[in-house]
Amino acid sequence: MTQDKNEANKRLIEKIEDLENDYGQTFSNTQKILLTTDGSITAILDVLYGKISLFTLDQHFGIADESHAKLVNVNAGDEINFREVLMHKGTQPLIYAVSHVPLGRCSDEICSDLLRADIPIGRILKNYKIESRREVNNIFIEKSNAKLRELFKTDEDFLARDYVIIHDDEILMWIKEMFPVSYFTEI
Amino acid sequence: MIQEGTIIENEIREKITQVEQEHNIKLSTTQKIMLCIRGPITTILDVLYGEVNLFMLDQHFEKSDERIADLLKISEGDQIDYREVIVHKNGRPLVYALSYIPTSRITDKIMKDLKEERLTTGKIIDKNYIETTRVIKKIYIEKPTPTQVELFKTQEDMLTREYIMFHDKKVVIWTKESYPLSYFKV
Repeated sequence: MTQDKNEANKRLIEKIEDLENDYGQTFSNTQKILLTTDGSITAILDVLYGKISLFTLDQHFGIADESHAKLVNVNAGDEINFREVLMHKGTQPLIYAVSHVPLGRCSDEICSDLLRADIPIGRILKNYKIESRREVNNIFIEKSNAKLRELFKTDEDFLARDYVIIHDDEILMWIKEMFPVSYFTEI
Repeated sequence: MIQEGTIIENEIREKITQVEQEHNIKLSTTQKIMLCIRGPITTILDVLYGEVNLFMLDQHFEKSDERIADLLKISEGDQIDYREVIVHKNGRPLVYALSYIPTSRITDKIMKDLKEERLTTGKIIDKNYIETTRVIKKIYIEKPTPTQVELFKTQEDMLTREYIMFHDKKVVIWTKESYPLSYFKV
C-alpha cells in the first residue's frame, strides 16, 4: 500500500498535539473529535446523549467594535448579531457557545431564525440549505470566568475552539465553543 | 441554574437507534460519531490514529447506469468518476469508501485532484474551498463484498452509511463508507 502522506487535517492534529504538550495532559478521543470536527457539534452530542436541548442565554444586535469586526471580517461599526447559548441534557450543561453573525451577510429568513431563540446554527443552515464550509481557527485552553463557573458549577479550565462558517466566500458566522477539560473523557 | 431549553430534533440519532434495534446490537461512541458527522471521516481517523493514508483501489470514468444516475440526479449515460479507496494506517485497513462524481459538475482542477492518489474527496473539497451542504441518506448493516472480504480479511457484516454533497444545489459527490462491525469499538 502507498505510504504517501495524507495532508488532510494535519494542521488540526498538530494544534491538538501542541495543546496537549503545552497543557501537559492528553485529551480523550471524544474531546479531540469535538475540537476538530468540521461538522456540527450538536449532531455529535445528540447522538451521544440522546435528545439534547439548547438554551439561549443572550441574543441581541449590537455594533461591532474593532475586535468583533476582525473576527468576522467586517468594518467596526457594522451591526452584528451576538448570541450566547448553552447546550445541555436535562440539568447537565454540556457545551457553551458564543456566535457573532454580521447582519449584512444574512438573509431575512436567517436573521429571523437567529432572533427566534433556541434554534442551533447548524439547523438554521440545514433548513435553508445554505452551502458553506468551516475553518477551525484556534484550539486552546481558556480560564473559566464567573459566567462559566455559574453555568457549569466548576472553576476548572475549559477546552475551547473557535471557527468560522464561510458562505459565498465571506464569513457568515464566527463561533466559539467551550467545555470543561474534565468533560467527555469517559464517553 | 439551567433553564429548560428547546429540544433539538435530530433524525440521524433515530436512524442509528433503528439500526441498533433491528440488529440487536449496541454501537460504540466512536461508531456513532463516524456515522453522524457531516464532515469527512478522515478528520476523525486522523485524530484517532494519527495521520491516516489512502490507497486507491480503482479510479476510472464510466457511463452512469439507471441506479447511479438516480443517486446523482443526472441523466442515465452521463459520465461519472468512479472512485474506490481504502483508508488505512500503516497498511491496516480502516474504512472502505466508494464515491461517484458526475464529471460534468466538477472543474478540471478538481478532476486533476481526483486522480491524485493521496487526496480524499473531503480533502479535495477543503483544498478547493468548495462550499457544500451534506446529507446523510442511509445508515445500515450489509454483507461484505468479495473486495471487502479480501481487504479486511473478515466475513463479518459491514457498518455502512451513504451520504451526498451538494454544491450549486446539485449533487457533486455520492459516497458510501463501510467497515467491519467489530471496528472502532473502543
